[in-house]
Amino acid sequence: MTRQVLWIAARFALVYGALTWLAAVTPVYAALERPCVRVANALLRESADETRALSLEPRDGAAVYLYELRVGSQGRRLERGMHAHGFVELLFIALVAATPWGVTRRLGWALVSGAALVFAVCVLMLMSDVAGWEAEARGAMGLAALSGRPYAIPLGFVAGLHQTAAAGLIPIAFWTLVTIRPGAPRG
Amino acid sequence: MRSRSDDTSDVSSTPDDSSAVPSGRAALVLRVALYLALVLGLSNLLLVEAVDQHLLAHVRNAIAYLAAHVLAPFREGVYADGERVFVGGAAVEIVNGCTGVDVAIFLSSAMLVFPAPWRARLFGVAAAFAIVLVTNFARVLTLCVLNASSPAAFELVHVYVWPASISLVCLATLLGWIRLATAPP
Repeated sequence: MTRQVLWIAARFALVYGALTWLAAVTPVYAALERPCVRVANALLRESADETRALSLEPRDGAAVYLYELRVGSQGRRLERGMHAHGFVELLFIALVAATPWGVTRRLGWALVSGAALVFAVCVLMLMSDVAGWEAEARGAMGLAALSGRPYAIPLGFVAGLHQTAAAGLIPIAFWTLVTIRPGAPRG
Repeated sequence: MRSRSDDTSDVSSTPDDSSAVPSGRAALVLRVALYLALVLGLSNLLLVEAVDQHLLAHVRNAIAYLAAHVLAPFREGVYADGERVFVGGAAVEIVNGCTGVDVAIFLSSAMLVFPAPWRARLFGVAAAFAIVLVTNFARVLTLCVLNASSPAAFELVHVYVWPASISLVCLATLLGWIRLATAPP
């Protein structure tokens, strides 16, 4: 392994270590989760007899999601502990900070599209959570669990991603694929 | 002005603007799209019951069995029971997120879409699985010991230290592999 690779890895370790320490002692994850909750809430489906609302509220020094589903005259409110989806964003920030920068279009494109991708991954994981809570709430109201979907798009394709902490590798792979210029294949 | 071959050995140091040609950008977008399709497809494959029963269950059992055998000479009351490792009275259950298979899949998918020779890609996939599985096994060992001796430290190491360490190992592996795969013969 070359010195340059070690240098990038060391810088990444330093920055990511500092960010995770910050996340452990301050409510960084809640701050990162709030925009995701706003977007996931804005995308919820509503109709004349079905309303849904998602919010993030402080509770005993931590944060919880509140998911409220109303179907006709029935309603259900679920409270669930916050998931730290923001770790994916911290990884991306650490990678950007660890990369030797020159002002180039390639890195600028990587930064903008990478930030969008990372945010989308976090929102999709949260939406996958919401789909689970919807089924739970419907079951508790005596309705068929899969009789309604909270979002217009089916979320089955993110189910696997949502089950694994390996989602944090998406920004690493994306950043590496985009910022490192490959040569022509040999051999 | 640096040559194309010079660029290949440059690990994201000073990429220049000439890369922004349409064909290069299209290839880049295709690689990223392929990567996302691979990780989404393969991560969903891990949820298939047949895969879980016939593959992942064996991996979980093997990790628990090996962890118990490695720890037994050093600690009292260590044994494995199916997918659980007991150290003293405390048990750690090996679930799918603890096997490292998902991490290895995410890492090797990046190697598969990177434009290197196929032999290098296959070597990369094998190396990715080996490195991730060994690192993950070290993670399981430390968590088994900490769960029995210091639950507070277990939480800290489980939630913060190991995820960061595994990310770092994956980044170093990917960068090192690209360096090797694109080095002049």
